[in-house]
Amino acid sequence: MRSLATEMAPPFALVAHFFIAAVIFLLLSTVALFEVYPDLSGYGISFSLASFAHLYLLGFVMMVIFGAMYQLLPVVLEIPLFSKDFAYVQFYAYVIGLSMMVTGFRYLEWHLLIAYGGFLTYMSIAIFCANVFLTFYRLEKNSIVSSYLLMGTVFLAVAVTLGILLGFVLAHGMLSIDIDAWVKAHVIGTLFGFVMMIVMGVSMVLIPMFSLAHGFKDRYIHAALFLHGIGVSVAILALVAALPAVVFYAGIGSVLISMGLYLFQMGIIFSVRVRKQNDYWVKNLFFSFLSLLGAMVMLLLFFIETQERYLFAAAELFFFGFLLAFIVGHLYKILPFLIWYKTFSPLVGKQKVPLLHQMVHTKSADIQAFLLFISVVCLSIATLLPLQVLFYGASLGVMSSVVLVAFNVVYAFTYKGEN
Amino acid sequence: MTCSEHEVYQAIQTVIDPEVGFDIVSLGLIYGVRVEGEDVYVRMTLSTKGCPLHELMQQWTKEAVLKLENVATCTIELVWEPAWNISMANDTVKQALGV
Repeated sequence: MRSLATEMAPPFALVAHFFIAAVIFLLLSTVALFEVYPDLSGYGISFSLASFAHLYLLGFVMMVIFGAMYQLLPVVLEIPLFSKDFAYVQFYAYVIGLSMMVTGFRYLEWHLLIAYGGFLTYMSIAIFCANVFLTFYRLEKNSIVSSYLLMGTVFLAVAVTLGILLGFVLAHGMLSIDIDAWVKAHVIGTLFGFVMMIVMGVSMVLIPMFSLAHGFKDRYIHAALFLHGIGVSVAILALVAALPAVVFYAGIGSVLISMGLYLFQMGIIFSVRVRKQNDYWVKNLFFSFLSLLGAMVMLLLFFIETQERYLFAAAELFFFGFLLAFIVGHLYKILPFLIWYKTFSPLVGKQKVPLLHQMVHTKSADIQAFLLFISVVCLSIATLLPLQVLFYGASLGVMSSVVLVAFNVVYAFTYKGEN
Repeated sequence: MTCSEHEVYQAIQTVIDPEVGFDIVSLGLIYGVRVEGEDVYVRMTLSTKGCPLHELMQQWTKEAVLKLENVATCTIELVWEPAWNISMANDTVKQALGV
């Protein structure tokens, strides 16, 4: 009998490392958010924006994805992770590298840290990619989920390679490249190529599992895989190789259609779900999908109107509305499970053990979700109009919501049970 | 003297899925039980293939059965066909889930 949960999966401590660090970086990123407002009316790619974006995207979003991938790969692929030691090395190199890089963005007199921290981060991500590729090498049977995870990791390797080259160009002026186009290619590769593909892939495991949905057609997510892969590849190539703008727009169009198909697929899954209760997980997911739709509309408006406020509103909806709500919703499910597995599963049959939902402080999770929804809507309005006071108020709301997430993480870790 | 299939089902009913909060018999995850002398055979499934409790559910089921008197061995056969769906759960579960 294959021992997926006990022998193949990495130890709880490894995944916990990633999740705890992710929440800390998330808290820091909400502080950095307060510095972003002046940039919203100026040039799109600034150092304070880069500082926030790396803290949030690399520190929180990708950190959670790395941890979740290490936990999910053995379960989803039914093969053991290639190396748990690689994962630990990756974690420490990643945290140090990212901290250096963000310091370089934040304090320009230390701008060399961007290149050196970026290199360390790059090496840590290369370790992650190698670990995933070597794990996939043992895979015997492919599935839609494994295709998403593999393709997402390939895009990650491409995107961070562009990123490290950018770091060295900024630090030493080597290579003659269009920095603006390469930054865009780096962002598209990371956000749509890696983050979005992983989210789409794991959605096909987690959402049917937690909602108890069965017997649904999955043709839309299959079509989305093809369109998304092609779209991201075309968009990156168009930017790096300075191809005509129409090629870039064709790539982005393909990505937008694929995300629409993804949302449609999620709608199909939810329409056949057996668990009908609308708990904090469902609320977060509904809001995240609505936000993704909003972000897509804003992105379209940006391409039509070419006003950057639409792009920033799209980014806010995507970052805080879609990604944050999606990840936090699942954090409330996955983290208690991991802690329960480590602490309570050995006690099953010997004494009364808690159910997973008891390890989440429901009231604070509900307040957190509501606060996040209101704050993200206000943040988008403040960016579109623009309204400085509303922006700072909404940023405070996002920060308060994140503090409640941190509270629930501590609550789950310290939960002792009723006895 | 051997134990009855009913006793085996009762033993397995002590195994609770910690995510949904119901026992795995009420959820309809047990497809069949066979008793041959002191050997018990349990045919079961899980609500989803990606379930991270894959291994533990089988282990808990086995441990619950082995607690019965006159049971020497318990063999678990995990199957995915027919795939589980909510119609396999009992009325209490369906009612609680709002089906």
